[in-house]
Amino acid sequence: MPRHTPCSPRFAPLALGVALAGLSASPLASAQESDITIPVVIKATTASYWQAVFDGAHQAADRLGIQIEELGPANETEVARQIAIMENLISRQPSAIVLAPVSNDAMAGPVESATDAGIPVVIIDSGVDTDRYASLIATDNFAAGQRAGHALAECMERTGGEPAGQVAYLRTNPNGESLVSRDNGFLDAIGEYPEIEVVDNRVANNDTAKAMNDTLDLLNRYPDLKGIFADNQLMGDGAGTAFAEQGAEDVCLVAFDSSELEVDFLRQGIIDSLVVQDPYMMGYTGVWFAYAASQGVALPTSVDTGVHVATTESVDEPDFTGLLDPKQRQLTPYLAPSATAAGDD
Amino acid sequence: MAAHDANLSLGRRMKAPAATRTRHLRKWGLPVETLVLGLTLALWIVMALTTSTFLTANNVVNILRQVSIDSIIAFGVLFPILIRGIDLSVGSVVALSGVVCASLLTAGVPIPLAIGLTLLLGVAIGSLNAFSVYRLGIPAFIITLAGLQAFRGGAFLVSDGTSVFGLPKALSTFARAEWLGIPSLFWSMLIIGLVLHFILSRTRTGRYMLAMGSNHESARRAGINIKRIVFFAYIISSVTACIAGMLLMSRMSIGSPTAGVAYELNAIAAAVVGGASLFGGRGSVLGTFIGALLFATIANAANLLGIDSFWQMVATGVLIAAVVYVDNLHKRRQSGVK
Amino acid sequence: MSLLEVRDLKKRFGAVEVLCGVDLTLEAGEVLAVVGDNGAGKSTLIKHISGVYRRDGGDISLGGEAVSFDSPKEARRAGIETVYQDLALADELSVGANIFLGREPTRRWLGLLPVIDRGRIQQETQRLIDSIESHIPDGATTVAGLSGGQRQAVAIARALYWDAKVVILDEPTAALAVMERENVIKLSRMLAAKGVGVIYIGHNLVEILEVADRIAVMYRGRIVHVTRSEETTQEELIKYMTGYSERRESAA
Repeated sequence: MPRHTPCSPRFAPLALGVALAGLSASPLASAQESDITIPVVIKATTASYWQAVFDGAHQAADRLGIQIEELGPANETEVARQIAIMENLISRQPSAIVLAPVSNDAMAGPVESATDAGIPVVIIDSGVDTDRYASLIATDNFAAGQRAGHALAECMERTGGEPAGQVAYLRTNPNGESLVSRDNGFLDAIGEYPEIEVVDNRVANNDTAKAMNDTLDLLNRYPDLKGIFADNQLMGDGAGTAFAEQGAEDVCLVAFDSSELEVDFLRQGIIDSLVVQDPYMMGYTGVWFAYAASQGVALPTSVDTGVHVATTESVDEPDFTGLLDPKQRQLTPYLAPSATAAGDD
Repeated sequence: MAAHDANLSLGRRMKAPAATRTRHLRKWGLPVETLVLGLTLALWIVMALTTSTFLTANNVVNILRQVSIDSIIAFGVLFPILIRGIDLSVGSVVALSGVVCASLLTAGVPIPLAIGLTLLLGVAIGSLNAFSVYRLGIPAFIITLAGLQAFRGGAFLVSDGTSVFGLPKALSTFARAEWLGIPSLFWSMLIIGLVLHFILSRTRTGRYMLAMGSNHESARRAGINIKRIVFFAYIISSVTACIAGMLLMSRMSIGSPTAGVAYELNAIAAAVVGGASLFGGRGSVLGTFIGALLFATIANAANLLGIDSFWQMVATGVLIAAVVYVDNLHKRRQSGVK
Repeated sequence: MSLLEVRDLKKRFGAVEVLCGVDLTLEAGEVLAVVGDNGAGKSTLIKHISGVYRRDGGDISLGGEAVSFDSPKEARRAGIETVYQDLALADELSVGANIFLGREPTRRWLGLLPVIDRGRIQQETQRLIDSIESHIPDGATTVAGLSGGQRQAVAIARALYWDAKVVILDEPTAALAVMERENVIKLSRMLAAKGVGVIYIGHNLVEILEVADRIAVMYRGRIVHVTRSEETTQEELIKYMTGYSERRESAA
């Protein structure tokens, strides 16, 4: 039977809520040691997603009365550059490191070296092929895909009276570990609705224009199509543009992340739901955890920063403002350490 | 006939019918292009007969839209190829021009000025490529590969890593407009294609490009201004990429720094399948269009038939190899075995 | 007055003196062969005449007027055409396009844009092909489809069409089959018969003796011997080419 998961971001994922609640209860939060600087190493300094991570990290640092240092290669492909950054950090012996590894295998060595050197490493955003880190804070992409599947089913129920009919999905890239988990989560959730049939999927190679062409062809080929899921932001941009061009009002569209274009489509009702991650929270939690680890606090090994589902109805609710546009993200009470934790299930 | 005494050197009589066929194709003036056009038409006929969705007004308009931007980029890339160069930077230039134009527009710059400035950017990039190739002697492959990286980086820097959003209405509706039932994008492609075809087949500049690609030394000795031709070829390539970038921007209603990834390869493939030689001196605008049309048809057909995306990639790759192989056979017969 | 006169031409590349005072005259309507071993300076000499190199010393005059070319283009404009060893034809272009390369006649398209006058090129090419009886089937054929001899004919036709006063043939038969050599020799004589001064660079002495009116022998940057071809033999030419005569003189 379909599970109707809560869609409001008011309900932060359990683990995170508990972890932060635990932190706030500790005396560490009030510590005032301004000479501590925690390096935050991200994947690509040129992308706004990572600027949001830095924003969150700064917010945490301000609350803790410490400093952070913004580091990272210009581009996600520069593996060697990130390794060099880590090597330099290890020789400088900071009290802890926050790292978003550009490669899960290549960054395993530097993470282990840092741990061996007595520097706790908090991993954010993506996993790494070792277990010798202090904590992993990331989106659970399988769960995120499930949320997208349920959101699509809900939309189909709203527009067609029941969650039934043909759906298809657009894939960014069949190699990305996180994207495959996301797609599998989507299929897993859709599997709970016996009346929904997944008729096709198209790989659009992370190319917005191809996503648009593929969507047009899907709409053409399946006149009875009831829903499309676009598994990242570029797929969402492309699918939304195709919907706008073709005027496919009766087809549900669920997409991932939140570009300005996607949010505009969401507002117009062209995109029905957006599944958004929380990079700000990753940066924020990453620095909190790194600081805690440097003080010898034992951390949960894995934390899901969660995803949130924004719909055309809820797009302008204040809680979503910062999630849809990370530049405006402020730590609202519902995600503050004292927030009431509520289960996903 | 004396012209074909070269065929005698094949040494094998059994080749004779092939040579005759080749001659027949040559009479049409478009040897490989004829083959590729035949393939494309065959695909259209098969699709029209086997699916109810292919030969609908909606789908044909979709194909025309899809082929337009790809063709424009391929037309541009053809010119460096003709002079035995290459331009790998066009995909990134598509992204850069899109975000630059979009940024100018969202900053309130009037539309004609924003378009003009973006075209100037194309001239500048083309000049930079040509200068590096002609004056600094950097191989075109290397300098435009560097451009592929650098201009993509530039696109990210200009846009701060995100899509530039909020274009004036006139621009975002342009790409959706149709005149006489034909999409505006297709009209744009037609105009650019005709202009470039005219330059290539009718003007001295076009002929000098073919001459230079065919035999650099002979072109130099004939007193051709090589520098001018090199600049011309690379500027055409970058400027058409900028036009394509702006059209793509208009179609997506955003300037996206991630647009156009790997488009340079699609464009080169379209030109080559359309009869261009990577060794220079040979190629046509019409052939390039037919090449691009074949690829767009394959992509559309794969989607309509629900063929796995991966098989579509494999099929496209096999097709490129097969067409180039057949073309080489043809050339060997034409010039005798060497 | 000779058509072309070279006086005391000197050229050095760094420390190497390649031409040490070359004297040469060429009359209109004659074929003058220049022979010599590799490195004797034949190529360097003709590259001065065709404007590729600039001389360090000496004079060149054409039709009695001193000339100094800065580029091959200037030399061509003055009437000196060079048919290079590698033929320098654009394979992918037609015979006509090659003959007119760099000097295409144009007309105004719609009274505005200058476009290549393809009709005229086609016409003139056909006329030219017929006049040299070279068995090139059609001016619209691409050069890639031609045999070596036919290509040589195209290159020579190009020189002929542009009313060259001096035509330099740089080893025109080097890459040809025996049968095709005859044709090139015929074409060279035809050029001379039309009043062109032909400089013929070659290695094959049998061929040289057949084609040339006069023969100049180069040895180590000098012209050591000039003779009418009917007054010499292969053996004598070889003696001069190998420096045998010089050694004998210096020994004496």
